[in-house]
Amino acid sequence: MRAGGLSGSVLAACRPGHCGIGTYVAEHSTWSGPDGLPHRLVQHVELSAEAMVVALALALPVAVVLGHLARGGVLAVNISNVGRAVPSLAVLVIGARIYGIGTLPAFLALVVLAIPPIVTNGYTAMRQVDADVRDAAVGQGLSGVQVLRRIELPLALPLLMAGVRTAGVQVVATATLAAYVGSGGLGATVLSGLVNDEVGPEVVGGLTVVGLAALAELGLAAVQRALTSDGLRRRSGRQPTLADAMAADMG
Amino acid sequence: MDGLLALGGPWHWFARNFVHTDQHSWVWWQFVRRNLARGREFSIPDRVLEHVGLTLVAVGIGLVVSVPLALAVRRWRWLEQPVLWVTGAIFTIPSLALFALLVPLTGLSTTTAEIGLVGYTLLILVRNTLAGLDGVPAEVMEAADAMGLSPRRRLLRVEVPLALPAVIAGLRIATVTTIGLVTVTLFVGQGGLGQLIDDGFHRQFPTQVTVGTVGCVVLAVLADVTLLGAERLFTPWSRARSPR
Amino acid sequence: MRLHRGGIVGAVMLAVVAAACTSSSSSTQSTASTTAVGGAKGAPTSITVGSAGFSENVTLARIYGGALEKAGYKVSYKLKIGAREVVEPALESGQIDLVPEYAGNYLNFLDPAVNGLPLDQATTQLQAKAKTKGLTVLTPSAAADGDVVAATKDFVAKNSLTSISDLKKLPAPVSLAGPAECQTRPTCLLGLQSVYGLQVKFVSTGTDSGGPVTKAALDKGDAVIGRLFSTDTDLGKKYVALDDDKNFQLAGNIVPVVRSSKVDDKLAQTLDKVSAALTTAKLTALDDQTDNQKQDPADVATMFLKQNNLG
Repeated sequence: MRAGGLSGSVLAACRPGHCGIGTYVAEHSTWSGPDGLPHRLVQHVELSAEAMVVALALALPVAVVLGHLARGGVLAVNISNVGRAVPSLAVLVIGARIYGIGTLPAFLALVVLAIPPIVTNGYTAMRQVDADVRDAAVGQGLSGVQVLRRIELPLALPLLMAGVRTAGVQVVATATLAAYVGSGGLGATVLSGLVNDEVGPEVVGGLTVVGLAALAELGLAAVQRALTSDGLRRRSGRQPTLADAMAADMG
Repeated sequence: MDGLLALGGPWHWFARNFVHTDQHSWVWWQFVRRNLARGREFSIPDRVLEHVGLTLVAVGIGLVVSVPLALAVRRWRWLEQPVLWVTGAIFTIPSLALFALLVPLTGLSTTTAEIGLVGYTLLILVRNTLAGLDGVPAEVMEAADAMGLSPRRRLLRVEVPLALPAVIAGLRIATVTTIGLVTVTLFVGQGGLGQLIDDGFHRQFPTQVTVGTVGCVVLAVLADVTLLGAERLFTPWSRARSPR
Repeated sequence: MRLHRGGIVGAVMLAVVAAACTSSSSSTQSTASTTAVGGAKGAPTSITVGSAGFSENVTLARIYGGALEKAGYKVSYKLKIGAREVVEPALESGQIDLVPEYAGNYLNFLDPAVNGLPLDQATTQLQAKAKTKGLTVLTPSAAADGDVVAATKDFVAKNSLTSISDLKKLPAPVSLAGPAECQTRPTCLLGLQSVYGLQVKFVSTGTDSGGPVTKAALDKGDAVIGRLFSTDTDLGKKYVALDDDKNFQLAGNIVPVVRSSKVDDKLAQTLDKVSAALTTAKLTALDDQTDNQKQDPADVATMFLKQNNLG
C-alpha cells in the first residue's frame, strides 16, 4: 500500500530535474498554499514595504536636516560608500546571527541597506540647491523653516527621490536574497529552483521578481514625477535616475 | 590582556569576541591563522584571489563593452535613450533572480556569474564614460580640429584623456558594487569570500562570516583607493584644476 | 536524506587544489608515459571525489579521498556541489567519480516507490539500480546517518509524543519544517502524507537542511516538527527524534558510490576498509568536530585516517 500509494503522487509532482516551466505552471501548488507564488509575492511585498517605510521614516529627516544645516555631509557620504562595500548577504547573515532566523533579521537588514542611499542622495540634493536662490529667499525675509519648505525641498525633490528609487529597488532585490535566512518571499521560490535544479521555479520565480522590481522602479519614478514641480520639469527636461543616485552616493 | 575580561561589561564582550577567542567569538584567531595557508577548503587567500579574479574579469569586460557603447552613442545620438534604458533595466534586476534566469542557459558556472556581474557594471560605466566625453568643452574640440587632428586622433589624444576622470569615477562605483555582488554568485557555485559567509551561516560559525565580510570591505576600500590613485596619476591636470 | 546542509555552494572546487592536481597529474602522466614501457601498471587512476553541501558529507568525501590518495590514486575534489538532486547528475555525467551516499535515501532517490526496506535488501536493489546507470555501489558501512522527524523536547513532553503516528493526536494540519527538496521526497513530506496519512502544512527552510533555519522554525513554533538528521548532536538535548513506527524512512548507512569505469579490486578494497572502520559513534564524533568544534572537514578527515591507520 505504502509503496503503491506513493508513486502516483511522486510522478505527478514537479520532480527535481523534471520540473520545466510548463510542469511548474500547471502544478496546483504553484498557485495556492504557503509555497505558492501568490503567497510568496505577498510576503515579498509586505517585507519590502515595511522596510521602506521604516527606512524612510528614519533616513529622510536626517538627510533633510543635515542638508539644510550643511552639517555632517562628509560623514554621511563616507558611511554610505563603505556601506556599499558590505555585501547584502553578509548583512543578512549577521542579522540572523544577532536576531535569529526569519523575517526580523531580514527586515532589519533591509532597513540598514535602504538608509544610506536615502541619506546621501537627500543630503546631496539639499546641498545642490543654488546658494543664490537660498540667499534670495532669505533676503525676501523667509525664515529657515520657510526656506526649507518652499525653496530647498521642492528643488531637492527630484534627486532626493532618485535616492528613494535606488533604495526601493535595492530593497526589493535584497528581499529576494533574504529567503536565504528564512524570510520567505519570492526568493524562497527561486532558491528552491536553484537547489533542486528545477527550471520551472527558477524561471517563473525569477521573472516574477524581475516584474516586481520593475514595478517598484516605475512606481517610484511616477511618484518622483508627481512630486517634481512643473517649472523644474520644464527646465531640466530629464529626471535624475538610478545612475544619478549612484553618482551622488559617491560624493 | 586578561584584565579586559575582569573589567566586565562591554570590555568583557570585546575580549570574548576579539582577544580570548574561541569557536563562538566573532573572530576565532586560530581559524584565521590556520587558513592563511593556501590550498585549504577555507583558505582565506584562495577565496580572496577568487573574489578579485571574478571582480577584475567583470569590470574589465564591462569596460570593454561600455566604452564602445558610449562612443556609439556619441556618434548616433538617438542610441542614448535605448542604451541607458536597457542598461538601467539590467541594473534593476535583482541579482539572485538574474542568476536564476541564467542558470537554465549557462548552468552553475563562472560564465553565469560573469554575465550577471558584467551586466550590473554597464549602466554605471556607460553613463560615466558618456558624461566624461560630453563634458569635453566645445572650445577644446574646436582647437583640436583647428590643429588638424583627425577625428580618431582627436578622440585618443584629447577626448579620452579629458574624459578619464569621469570614467575612473564610474570604475570606482562599478568595482565597489561588483565586489559586493560577487558574494551572491555563491548561488551559482562561485562566490569568492561569499563561500566563507555561506559556510559560516550554515555551520553557525561567526568567524567565517566576519572574515568574509571584512574581506569584502577591505577589498572594496583597496580597490577604491587604487583607482583614485590611478586617476591622480593619469590626470595630473585635474588635480590642479579641481581638487576633489 | 540530508543533503546539502551547507547551502547551495554549487560545484565548488578549490581553485588551488584544482590547479595543484592538474599540474601534478599532468606531470605524473608525462613521467608515466616515458616509463610505460617498463611498468605495465601505467599512470595512476585519477579520481574526482564529490560531495553534497553539508559538512558531514564533505568530511566523508575527504576521508574516502584521503584513503585513495594513500593507496596511490590521483585524487581531486569537487565538494559541496549541492543537494542529491544536483550531485547525482554530476556523478552520472562523469564530472565526479565518487560520492559518499546514504544507502536508503539514495535508493529512494533512484526509485521513489521504495521504502521501509532492511539494509541488505536495500543494498541489493540499490546495486542493481545503480548498475544500469554505470555506477557501482560498494559495501555499506555500519555507520548510519538517517533522516529523522523531530520536535523540541518541550513540545514532545507537553503532547506526550513518542512516535510519528502520535502526531495524529495533534490538531491537523501538522506543520513540518524542511528544505525545498523535502516536498518532493517520499522520505520527507510525501511519506508523512501517504504512509502516515498526516495532513501536513509545509514550512520551507529553503536551502537549509537540518541546520539553523530548521531549528529556528522549531524553536519559534513556525513548525512543530522538522526534518533533522540522526547524527545531530542536538538530538536528545534540545530536540527529540520521533520513532518512525511505520518505517517510512530508510537505512541511512554510508556507502561510497563510484562510476563503474573507475572501479577495480584495489579501489574497492581501499574504500571498503574505510567503510568498515566507520561506526555511527565515530560519525557523530566527526560531526561534532566540524559542526560544534568548528574544525575544518579536511583536518578532521586527516585525523580520522591517521587514528584508524588508513592514511
